[in-house]
Amino acid sequence: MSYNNNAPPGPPQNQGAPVPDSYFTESRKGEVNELRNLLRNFSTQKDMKKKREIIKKVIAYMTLGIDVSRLFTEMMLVIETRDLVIKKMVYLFLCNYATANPELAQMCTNTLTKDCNNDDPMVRGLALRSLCSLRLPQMVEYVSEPLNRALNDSHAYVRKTAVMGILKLYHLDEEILERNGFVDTLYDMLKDPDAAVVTNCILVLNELMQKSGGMAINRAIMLHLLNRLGEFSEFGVVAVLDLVPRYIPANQEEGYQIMNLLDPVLGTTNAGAFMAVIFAFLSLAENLAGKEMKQQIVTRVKAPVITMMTGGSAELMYVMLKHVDALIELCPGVFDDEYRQFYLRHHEPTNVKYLKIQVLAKLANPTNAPDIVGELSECVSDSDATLSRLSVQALARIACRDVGGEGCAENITCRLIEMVDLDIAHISSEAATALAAILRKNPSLRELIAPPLPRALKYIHEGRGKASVIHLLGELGDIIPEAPYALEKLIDGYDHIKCSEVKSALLTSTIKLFLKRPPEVQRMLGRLLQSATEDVSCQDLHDRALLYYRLLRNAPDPSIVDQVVKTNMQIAGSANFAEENFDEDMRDELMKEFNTLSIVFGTTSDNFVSEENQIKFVKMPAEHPLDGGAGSVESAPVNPVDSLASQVQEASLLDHGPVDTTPAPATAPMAAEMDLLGFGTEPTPAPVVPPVAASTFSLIPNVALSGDEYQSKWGAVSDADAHVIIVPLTTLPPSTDAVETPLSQASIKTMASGELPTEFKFFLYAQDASSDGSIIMVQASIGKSSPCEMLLTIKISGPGGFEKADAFVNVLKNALGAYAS
Amino acid sequence: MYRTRPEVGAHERSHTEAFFRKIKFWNEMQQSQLGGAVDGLSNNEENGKSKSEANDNSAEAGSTVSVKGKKDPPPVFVMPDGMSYLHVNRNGLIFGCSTDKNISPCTVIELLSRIAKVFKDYCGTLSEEAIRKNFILCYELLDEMIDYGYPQLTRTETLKPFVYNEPIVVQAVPNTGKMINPKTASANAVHKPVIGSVNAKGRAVNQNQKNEIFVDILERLNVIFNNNGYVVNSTIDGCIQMKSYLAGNPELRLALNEDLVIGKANAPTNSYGRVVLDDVSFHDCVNLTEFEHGRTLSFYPPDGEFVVLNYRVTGEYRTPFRIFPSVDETGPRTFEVTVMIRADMEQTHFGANVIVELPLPQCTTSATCSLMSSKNVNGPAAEYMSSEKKVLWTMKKFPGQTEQTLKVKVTLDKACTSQIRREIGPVNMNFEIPMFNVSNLNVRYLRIAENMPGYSPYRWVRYVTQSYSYVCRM
Repeated sequence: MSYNNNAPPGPPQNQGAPVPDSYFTESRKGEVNELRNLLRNFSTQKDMKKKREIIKKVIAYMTLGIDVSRLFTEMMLVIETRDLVIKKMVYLFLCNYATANPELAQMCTNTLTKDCNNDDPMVRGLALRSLCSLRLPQMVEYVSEPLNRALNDSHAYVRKTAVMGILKLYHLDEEILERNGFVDTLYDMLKDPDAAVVTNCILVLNELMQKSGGMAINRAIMLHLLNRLGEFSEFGVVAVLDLVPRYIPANQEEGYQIMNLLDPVLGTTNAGAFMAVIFAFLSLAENLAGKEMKQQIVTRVKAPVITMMTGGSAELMYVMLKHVDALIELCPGVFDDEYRQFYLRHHEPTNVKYLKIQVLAKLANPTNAPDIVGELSECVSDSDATLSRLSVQALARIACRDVGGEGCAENITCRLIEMVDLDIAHISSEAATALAAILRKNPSLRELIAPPLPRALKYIHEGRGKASVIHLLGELGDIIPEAPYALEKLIDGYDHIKCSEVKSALLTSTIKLFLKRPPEVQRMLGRLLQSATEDVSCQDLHDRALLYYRLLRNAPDPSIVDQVVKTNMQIAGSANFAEENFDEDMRDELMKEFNTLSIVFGTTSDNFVSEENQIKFVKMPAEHPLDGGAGSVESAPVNPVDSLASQVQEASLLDHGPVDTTPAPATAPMAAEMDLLGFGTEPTPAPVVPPVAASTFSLIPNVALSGDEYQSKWGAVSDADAHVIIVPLTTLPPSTDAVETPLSQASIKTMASGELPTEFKFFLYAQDASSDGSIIMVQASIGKSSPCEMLLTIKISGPGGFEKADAFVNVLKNALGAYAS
Repeated sequence: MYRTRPEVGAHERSHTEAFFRKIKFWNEMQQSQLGGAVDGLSNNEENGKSKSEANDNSAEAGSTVSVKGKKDPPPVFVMPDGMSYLHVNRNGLIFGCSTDKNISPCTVIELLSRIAKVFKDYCGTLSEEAIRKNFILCYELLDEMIDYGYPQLTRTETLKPFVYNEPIVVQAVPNTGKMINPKTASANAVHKPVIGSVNAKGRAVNQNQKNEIFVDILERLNVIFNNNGYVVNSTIDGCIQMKSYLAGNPELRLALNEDLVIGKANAPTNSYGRVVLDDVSFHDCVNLTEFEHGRTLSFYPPDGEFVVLNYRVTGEYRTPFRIFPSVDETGPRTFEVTVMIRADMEQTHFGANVIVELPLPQCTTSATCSLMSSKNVNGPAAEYMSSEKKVLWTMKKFPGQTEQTLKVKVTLDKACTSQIRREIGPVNMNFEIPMFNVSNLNVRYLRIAENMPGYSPYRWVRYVTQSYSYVCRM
């Protein structure tokens, strides 16, 4: 507790009630001495109540930040007491001042160790907790003996305290773990009959093993904990659930079992446990079926998420909103029909209101857009300037994304024009900026936007808004007759413009107008260029003015100037502005840190958590194959396909090893994406097929490979050497057979195949007929959604690089015949 | 409990003070990065998980008057020392903690709220005075609730055997000013520490201990009317809250409406008159085996205040008050605002502590209010607050089936334009309706599961409807 001594007097310290509240009155010199006297007479004091009062006073002073460590000796004399209230207070004092008085503190450890053998488990627990909290490195050895005993105590409270004690000592002396074999003890104690002890074991192990990603989990531990979930306290449940995202289920069935086991937790009123379940679900989905399943999950949790959000405190609402926002980014559209829950409420704190406005814009679809736009427009006239700015930005977002269906963008534009005319500084300015953005996205609205601009220029004074209006005047100069004259006034008053943003906009717009209407603008452009080149307040502006000047003077043809000035302002179709486009990879990284501060701050933890406090996210156990992303083939668990797919995945996992420093193992689909972007490891990832190699390439017809061989060969080739190639298909094959049969005729054998709800999956292989006889292995998948294409991940065991893979693909294409386009 | 190396961390006074300054003078410095702003980063070599501190800030209490342009700090932010600080505000007290790890904010917020709740349960009330007087008790509670930054015992009843201090009961402070969280505002029925009933261990038993249980069915209304009285949006956030002081902690059975429907999709086409809830969540202690068929819950009530269930209703319902505003321009610089409010509930019900706020334009020079009230209305008063440019209209009691009208004549210092007209409103209404709920969710009965002869606890069942956000646009 902290009380400000020097804070403003605050509410009058309750007049009229003098006596019991006097703990926190201002300290005067001599009071500590007075306390010392009281303490010295402590043993003669008979009345327990009065004894307590004395100690209470000491603690009160301590709380106030007055240094009462001088009383250490006296307090130590009091330690031998049977009254637990006094004992607790003295121990509190001890823990607080032990580091300042290590020698003295050491002397009272005898009492503490003795108390560790007390008959009352409360006393044993209390003594042990205090003993471990003294923070004296020289004490570690003394403590480890009672600690070891306490780990086998008959009472759960003591065991629980002892488990936490291990962690406290570890931070004083890391070697203590090995000397006492504590880690093994802790793993053993996961089977403790008391759930609170188990909870502490999990928490402590997670912290001890922080560097390797936390407590090691295997199937037995995970199932043991999950089956006992009902015994744990709410925060114990959180500790167990936090393990689930790191666990890779042994097979599909187990994954679904876990989900069913966790489903009831969604009804909890503890937000921590609730969010932990959601994250567990999302991670399991990653292992099991991927994107589609996430959609299902988000739909499933929608109603309870909103109940949690609206039923809780304002603080919880803020944090929940951040997470809802992340879920909306993950599965757009799911929350759309609940948009009314995101309407602002009168008493909400501003931080919640701001968030809601931003979320509302993301929920707009053709059905609800009229309502949302109406609601946002109401928020614009709120007395809070930040809120109204955000509302305008939200409206602009809806219009730019064109998510509101027919007529919505026009509607918003009309509303924004009204707002420009409102003549309330911040709204007009923000609305003008919004209009500039909308025009870039939607040029057909130019007729609508043009009329109010010249008058808006007169009353918008905020830099950014003014710059936007000037920009718009330049863009729409051909349909606004008075545009040049509006700008001319500004050019004449150039010296009075303070904001460099406005100056730049003025320069660009004047050039644009000049290209459209040279005779009217030529003279003012000349004046502007002169002023701007003489202006030394902004380097950028000065240089641009010079550039334009030289261009105009030297260019043989004005159309060149035109090309330079009029860059691609329009953003085509469904694309978004670069700054708005939330990076997909970034989002995936962020979703890996769901239910943490990362979601609240909107940035991954390496940006705000120092390195030694980073907890690496390591999926375990490695022998379980269902790692995220790649997905596996759905079929009965005994099916060889499944086990093969598993082995293959395992191989690629082992390949990277536990010490890999890259954030996520580069699984095949990731490699695919990278290659598509042209950042692949291959220097020439050109999709154009060089047909040279095809003629000399053929396959051995009767090649045979066992599952094990396949697996080891696949694993032997690193993922970095894999080739990822996409073969477009004309139609979707009806079954796996329709693909396998023609392929086998072309000497491409199938190791395993299967059908998933979303795709077909094949494990293919073939052997090169040339002298080196390299084995070509392929993992192929055909997505059922359009565009219909076959994604091949090719690994070649033996020499031969990209050409060989390409030649192979040609063979494959020919074999597929009817399907390949 | 604390877990720090010296010189750093939240328990250092300088850090705590910096934290309070930040909360009090929160300012969005980078408006484009709302909430996402990470202020400053530094590599602090320190070793704390989540140090919890109950901070009692004397300066803050009672100073939550809405200042124009005041921003509310988000509950989570990074301080210049590189640590993330989380806090919750309960009854004007701030409960905060800091961490240098990437923890789950939901869990921490939940934990901090839990600390506040446990303090309240043990002290009887949650106020600055209660914590000052019971600081040793609070230390004791914190020590048992958190060990080395990890939550341990967090429930009022599980904590009981470990707590030895007895509470010093303080007089409940009447709730003054605006309550951020109305849920706590009206729960004034009981301000009694739970610990009196603990004493299984042979400590002095409070003789006055009554066998009683309090059940509140609370509904918070969110309604937006547009200027012609049409309901734009309406939702109910409801909960059933209990506070049990039953000796022996018997199992209880709570029955709700038999025809209760949960989930809009499950509602039959002819659901008229039935109670349809969008969603429900239950306290962990609730046994739901009989819920599917009998709509009956059974549970052993934990000690202290707890929420049995939370529920949510969206969509049309009969709003208890309807608001009809109008504005007439009477001259170039004057206009008249009329706000008519009709109480649509039964005559037997009434709105209590009704406060209606009507913001007026910034350029208002004067405003005179006149009221047209029917009888029965207790203590109606309307006043123009020139410093805040708004009219405050209060009624102690607003009976059902009556109408109240407020007329305000406003004079401006310049000609009235459409922009100025936009500054009028929105009308915001605060009220509480005792023994009334909008959703018609009912407690059919509350029984003790086993038949215990001679055991007759007092049962206090209250229905309360409160406005949370009751707004009418002009």
